[in-house]
Amino acid sequence: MVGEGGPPGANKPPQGFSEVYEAWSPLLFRIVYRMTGRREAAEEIVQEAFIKYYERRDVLPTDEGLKYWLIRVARNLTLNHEKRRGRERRALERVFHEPAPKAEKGALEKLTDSEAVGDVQKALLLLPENLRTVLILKEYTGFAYAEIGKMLNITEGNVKVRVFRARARLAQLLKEVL
Amino acid sequence: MKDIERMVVSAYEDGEVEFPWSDRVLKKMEENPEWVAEAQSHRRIKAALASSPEPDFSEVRQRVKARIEAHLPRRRRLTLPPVWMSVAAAAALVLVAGGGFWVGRQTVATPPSAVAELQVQVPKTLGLKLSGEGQLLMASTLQGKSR
Repeated sequence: MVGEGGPPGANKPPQGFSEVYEAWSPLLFRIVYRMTGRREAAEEIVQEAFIKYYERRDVLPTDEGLKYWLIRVARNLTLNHEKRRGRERRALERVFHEPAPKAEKGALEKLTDSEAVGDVQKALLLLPENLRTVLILKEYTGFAYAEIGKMLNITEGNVKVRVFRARARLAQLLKEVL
Repeated sequence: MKDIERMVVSAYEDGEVEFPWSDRVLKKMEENPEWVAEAQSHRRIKAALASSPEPDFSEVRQRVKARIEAHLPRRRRLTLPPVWMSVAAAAALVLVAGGGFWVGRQTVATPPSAVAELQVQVPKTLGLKLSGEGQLLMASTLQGKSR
């Protein structure tokens, strides 16, 4: 899983837009998809992240720092996207005076989406953003705690705590399924 | 089991506990079934996350790349001015800079006589302290009168 998002050369960092895109876009698609649970959102956000990269590529680092920058940008764009989506949903609810129906079933059943996502992905989406991001970066990209800390500007100890809490919360949510 | 111990197990399962602490965790697991159960719980979560299906993005990736490559170079070219405009701007800049330099040289060549005339000398005999602008002006006036 980790290998798919790696750079083409063993030591040489990717150069030029095409090489950078081929090297890091699989990783970004995976992260954004796991953060949102929606394919279209991943497409839109990754595209926006690489447009930002293209526009600023002359002043951006070319080594590992670029990977961290891309992930940070993708994460911020995802958060903005989710906020905007929430606002739109609330506005529609106000217009039609119909609040979202409260589910009677378990927590996983509360999540309804046009796209069919598995129970694990649904449970992941129920985690608070600060726990979800760290867990996704750990489980789906294989980054070390120290690297995740650098990306999110938090300490390694904080990453450790968040990963543990995220797993504990996820275990509770998936109790029925696992 | 304490939360701190559970967190150590979680980090151990991620390969984030270094030697010699990793050996200590292993030993704890041999002695304590609770630690083993905790490790298994983390492994189950990890396995569940790994097996969660993910769409194939290869086609979408190529589509997005093509879209960016087709759009952005055009946008970049549009922002660049034509060559004649760049040459004209450079010539104007040289003229302005040259003119400014010439004016600057003329100003420096003029003796600062006006500034020298404004200097005020306070006579010690009047006993005025150099503590304020008003006093300095007064001293200047007195000196003028005495002459």
